[in-house]
Amino acid sequence: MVKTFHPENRLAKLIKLPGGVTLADAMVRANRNLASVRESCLAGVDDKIGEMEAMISDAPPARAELASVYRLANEIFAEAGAFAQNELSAAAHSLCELTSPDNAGVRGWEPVRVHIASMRLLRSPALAEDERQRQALVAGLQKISARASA
Amino acid sequence: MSVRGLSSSERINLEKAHILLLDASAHGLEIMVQIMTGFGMRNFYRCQKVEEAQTIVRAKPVDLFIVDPNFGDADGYEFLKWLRRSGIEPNCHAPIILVSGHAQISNVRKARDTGANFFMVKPLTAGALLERVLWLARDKRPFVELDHYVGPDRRFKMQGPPAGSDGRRKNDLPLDIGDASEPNMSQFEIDGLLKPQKAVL
Repeated sequence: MVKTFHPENRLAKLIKLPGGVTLADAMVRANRNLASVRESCLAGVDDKIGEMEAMISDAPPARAELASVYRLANEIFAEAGAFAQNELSAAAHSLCELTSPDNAGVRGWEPVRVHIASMRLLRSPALAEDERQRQALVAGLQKISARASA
Repeated sequence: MSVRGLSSSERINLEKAHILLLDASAHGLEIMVQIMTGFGMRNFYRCQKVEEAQTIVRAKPVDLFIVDPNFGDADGYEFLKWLRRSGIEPNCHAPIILVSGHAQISNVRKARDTGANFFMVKPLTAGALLERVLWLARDKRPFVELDHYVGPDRRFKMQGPPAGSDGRRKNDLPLDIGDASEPNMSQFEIDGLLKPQKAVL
């Protein structure tokens, strides 16, 4: 039996209260606020790359280790992307594809290590001005993860 | 910068809204808080653990939930299902935006069944998030309660019952149109049903 009803939408009532901001101002302020935390958030991304680097060892990756890499890569994907670090975000997404629990393809650290090293490179000044090289790097990573998932 | 389909001079007031943000990442939370502070929101409950969010839900009214369900050891999807079935008013009926980064295939069905009002894919942008908040404030879909689902009606458009079924609801009509049971109406009768309108050129 399906029960249907209309609960009160408190958000709808609050949003119509007098005062507030225009949509144009809301957008300007939101983007300005976001820019104010850019450096601290990208420093956090560097720390997460470091955490993943520290996990790599000679022993085959344990399931829990791959789960940790997946979680960190997922966070980097979202956080780098929020600051328009598009290639870094795409590289992190490729690492998510590689280490996703849906994908049993990865058995060794090597493809993971290549992804992490590339993400470190994408954060370095060496590639800051070279979009073509950054995109080529990401395309290579996506081939690796696609091969491992096949 | 604009919000699709809306006048940029339209005003919103979210100063009194209480928002619960659940994200395992401190930086993920910070990004959401900064964007939403720009929208005029002031009252945030920042939670990095499901248990923290449950404690808030039991103690404080929340007007909007924004949840990233991807946790290492806890399950954010189960938190949302718990919230919808908790019976804790008004929180159990509050709008929920589920935000997720990389989507695992195995989680897509889970996400659909959580009872969230909307699903957004990260990375988040201010424009996309503002559009969704405004959309939620205008969402008129009814809530439905079933054995296996509690949340807003997942049918965005009423296009009849699901294919191959006669529907599960009293107001589900069959797709097949039966034979006419009465004679056709005359043009005079049809004209009588229409409300004349003055044309504006």
